[in-house]
Amino acid sequence: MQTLRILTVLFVTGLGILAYALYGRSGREASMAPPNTRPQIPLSKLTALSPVKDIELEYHTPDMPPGPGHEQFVTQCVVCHSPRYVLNQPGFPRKTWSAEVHKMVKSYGALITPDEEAGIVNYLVSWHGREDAPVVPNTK
Amino acid sequence: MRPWARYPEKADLIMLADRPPLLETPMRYFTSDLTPNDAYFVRWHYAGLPTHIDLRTFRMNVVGAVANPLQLSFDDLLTKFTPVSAVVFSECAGNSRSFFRPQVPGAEWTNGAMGNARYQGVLLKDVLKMAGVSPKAVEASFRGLDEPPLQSSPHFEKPLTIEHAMSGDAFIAYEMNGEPLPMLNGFPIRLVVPGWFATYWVKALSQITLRTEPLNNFWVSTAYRVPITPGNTEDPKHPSESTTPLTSYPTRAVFVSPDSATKLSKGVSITVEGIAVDDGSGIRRVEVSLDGGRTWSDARLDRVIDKYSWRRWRMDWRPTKHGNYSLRCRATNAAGQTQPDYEWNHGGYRRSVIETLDVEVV
Repeated sequence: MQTLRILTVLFVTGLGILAYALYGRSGREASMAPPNTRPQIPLSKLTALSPVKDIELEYHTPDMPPGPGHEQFVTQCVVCHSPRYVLNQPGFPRKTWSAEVHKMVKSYGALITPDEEAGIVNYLVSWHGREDAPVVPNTK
Repeated sequence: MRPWARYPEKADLIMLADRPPLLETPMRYFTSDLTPNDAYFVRWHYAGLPTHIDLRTFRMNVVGAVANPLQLSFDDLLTKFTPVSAVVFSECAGNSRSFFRPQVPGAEWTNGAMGNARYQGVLLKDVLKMAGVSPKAVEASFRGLDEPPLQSSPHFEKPLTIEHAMSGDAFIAYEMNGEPLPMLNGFPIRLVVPGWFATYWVKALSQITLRTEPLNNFWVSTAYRVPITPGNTEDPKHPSESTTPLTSYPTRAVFVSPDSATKLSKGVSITVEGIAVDDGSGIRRVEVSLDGGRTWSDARLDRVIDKYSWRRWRMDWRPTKHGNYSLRCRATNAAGQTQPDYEWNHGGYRRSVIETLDVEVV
């Protein structure tokens, strides 16, 4: 008998909460001023309640077109970063690509041999760049 | 070439790169005083950025030339210091790089690698005082939890002079626009250096080192430098030999609306609006030209939001003729600094040249 009474009280309370929630969303609260954007719970409590933040990064790796040096490019460059880094660059002349690839070796410590470096530069120039403008001889 | 992507805790943003993510804020978000956290631009140097933080074990260390090395928990930062709060503008040093001609290598941002947010945190000065800085210290340098991809790659770390660190401007933020920071914007804490480029705003700040000798790493001595010339500009054919680390924001106005893709109608009033920033001296004037810079008129300045915030501006315009218009905007700050007609530097940094907006009236 006691159990039944408790269950009834719980059921009625639950029904009340549900009704309030439904009514609140559709009626009274919908016409209220938008809630304050600052959290109602202080940050300290919020982070104490959920002290772990976890995200999962999705990558959007583009397919790279074939070409001379493709093999070196896809094995060496993508060790550290997405090929998309190249996709967003303007089509630079060989001089600029050479300097960029060399920066990866010199400044970022990429473990790329000089042969591989040359292959990568060739790939970038053929697919996404141009040869340096020829030096115009001075005819005067 | 400019796809969109949605990363954790972020809205759809313009994706310049995916690993590590480089995400640009679309201009439409800049029509309000504060930039929402989920729309705030993202820039990491290395793919080894933090993706999992447990605040129960996270510590920020203060080491080096100090009397008491510190290991502060997130809770220590919340409870052991007087909180400070401010609205502060931040901008990637390479924002707007794609507009340089000739073009330069690097992240090819348009104008969206910037934003304005309210931060809450603790003064760097207060943390350093607790650690007891040695009188021999000349710099404080800052590291985050991001890891280089190779042992041979230089760990990202940037310094401030001890005078700057103790000046009471810089703070360590644990809250952004009233919420915990998004992971991609530096959760749980990041350095805020008001008036200075975001390269100094180290994300997921985990270590402060007090140094008796200046830090001399790749990020100081090679990257993030501009030529030592008036206006930090150089000739593309003869790049300058002498460079210096870039620091504070130059005075600059940027158009936010309309954009050049919008066709305007003859006889219909619109509001031309934008933002203006400087190093904290204060924006005093923004002028707009509707005729390619021949004549200028004053835009209306919004109220001052905060010392290091951007200041918004607007101007009503009713085009009376069909055709193409070349709009310009130009800011002037309290120190009298205004904007150049020409600039170029080989890193594509610190852009401050007068903005142009070409629109068509039909």
